[in-house]
Amino acid sequence: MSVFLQFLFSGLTIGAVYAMVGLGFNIIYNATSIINLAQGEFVVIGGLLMWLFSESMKLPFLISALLAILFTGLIGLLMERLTIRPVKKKDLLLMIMITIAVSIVLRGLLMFKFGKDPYTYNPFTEGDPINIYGAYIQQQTLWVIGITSLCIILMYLFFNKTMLGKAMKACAVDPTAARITGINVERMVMISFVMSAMMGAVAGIAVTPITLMEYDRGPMLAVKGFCAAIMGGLGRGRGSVIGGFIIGILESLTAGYIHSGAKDAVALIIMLIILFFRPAGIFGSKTIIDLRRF
Amino acid sequence: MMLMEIKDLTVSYGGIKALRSLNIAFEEKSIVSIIGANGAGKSTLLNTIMNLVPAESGEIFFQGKRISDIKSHELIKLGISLVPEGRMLFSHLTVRDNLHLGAYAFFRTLGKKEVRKRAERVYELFPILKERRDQIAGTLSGGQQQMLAIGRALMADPRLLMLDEPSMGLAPMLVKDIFNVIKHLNSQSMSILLIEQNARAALKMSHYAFVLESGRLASQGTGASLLNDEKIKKAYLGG
Ligand SMILES: Nc1ncnc2c1ncn2[C@@H]1O[C@H](COP(=O)(O)OP(=O)(O)O)[C@@H](O)[C@H]1O
Ligand SMILES: [Mg+2]
Repeated sequence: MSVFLQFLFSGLTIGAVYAMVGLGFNIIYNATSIINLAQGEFVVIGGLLMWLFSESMKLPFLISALLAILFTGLIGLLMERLTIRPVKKKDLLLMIMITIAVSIVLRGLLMFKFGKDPYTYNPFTEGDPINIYGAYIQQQTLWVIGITSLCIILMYLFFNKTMLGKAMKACAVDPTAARITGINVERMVMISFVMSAMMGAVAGIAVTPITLMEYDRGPMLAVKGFCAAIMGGLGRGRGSVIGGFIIGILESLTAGYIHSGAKDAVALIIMLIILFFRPAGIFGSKTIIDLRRF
Repeated sequence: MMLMEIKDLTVSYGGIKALRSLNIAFEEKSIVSIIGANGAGKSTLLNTIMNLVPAESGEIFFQGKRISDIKSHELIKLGISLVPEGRMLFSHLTVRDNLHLGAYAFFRTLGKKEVRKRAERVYELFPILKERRDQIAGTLSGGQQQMLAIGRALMADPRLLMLDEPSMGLAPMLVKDIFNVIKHLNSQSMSILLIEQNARAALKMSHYAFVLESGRLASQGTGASLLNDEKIKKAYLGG
């Protein structure tokens, strides 16, 4: 029982990160229909910048976190400005390939700056793990889950209660309609990249003390976050959160009960099953893609 | 001064010319209609004015100001609103949200209170929308959706309201209601640019009209004069 709980807790931790990556996918997808495969790099950048500011430059915790989030947001902004906006023909496949290229470039830059070693820093709060029915849960795990929950709530409020959020959703549903009602679609696309980068950074900052962080974690995070997002049906925030936790827990159980080398296969197998049974479920129908082109 | 002046406008999709050297001008506070067969280029004209479709050549002036290069989302601030063909509502959002998004460009300058006031004015015009303000737009009936599309455009309090086939797919009774609303808006000195399949009804209520044929201006005149034009009668009014 306690062993199972232990696996469950570590699954929840990593699942929370997948959920945040999935949410990041959804933010951009909701405004543009683009699948941003550089989403994982945002998480890595968040964690590594946090290390840079707090450990290497010895800045206070909150300031380091804030700077890491803002800088990652800036990278999201630059990515949109330099690689997405200039593209004249907004072909969806082309845009997705651009995001892959961006992720490769970002990885190169990260390796150049940070090398191949993993980094970590102290958990947010000191203290012993909490014992629950014989299983131990680290305080940082509670932070990760708490922060993820907060992000989910903030996203929900943003997209459903604020004019800006509604306008962003409107862009995805019908960019032409959005334009004629006075919504600056290009601006919304930019905001979506910044928000999603910042969301990734938050996840990276929270999880690095538990999982460590190195320059090439991005692609795996992206694959799993993407899997979480399609499990819930792309564009649905709640779905991707649930998907993220399911993948995290399944991975952790697989690693614990079967073999730790097998855990990365879980997300891929889930993805293949989805692709196999509902190939259209991932992107919606072709006409919807056409309608959503911005 | 003319409210709108279109000079030598040519628009193509790929190689196909949808508008050819079009010259159109009309005055403020009038109802102006564009008639023409399917594919004549009517929607293209409105979409080009709104800068949703790029012009190949030619210029467009609104109140004497050249607007050819002004982005769609800025045009609404100058006082041009479009009720597009097929309505293009935000079908997943509520009636109220659709209306509020119609004033999106003005939120900062007007404030929430004024936006609500504008919504109240739309509700006065279309009371059914008030009853259904919390309903998801996609679940409204066709007539109600058209009312909402018009209401959304009115939220910008436009000087020029452009409507692309507002009667499409509606029962005759509803069409009459919509036309009455258009006349009412015009009586409050809003300028109207109307595309209408039902040429007779359109000409009857128009001060002026333009006839498009394969992207060319075939004819123009007051509503009354075109109603009595033999050629127009034959081609568009069923003999
Ligand atoms: N997006 C488009 N791409 C290519 N051709 C188009 C497009 N929209 C309209 N057309 C063509 O341009 C011409 C004018 O169309 P349109 O302006 O929609 O006419 P109308 O509104 O009078 O029915 C038609 O021949 C139509 O097929
Ligand atoms: Mg048309």
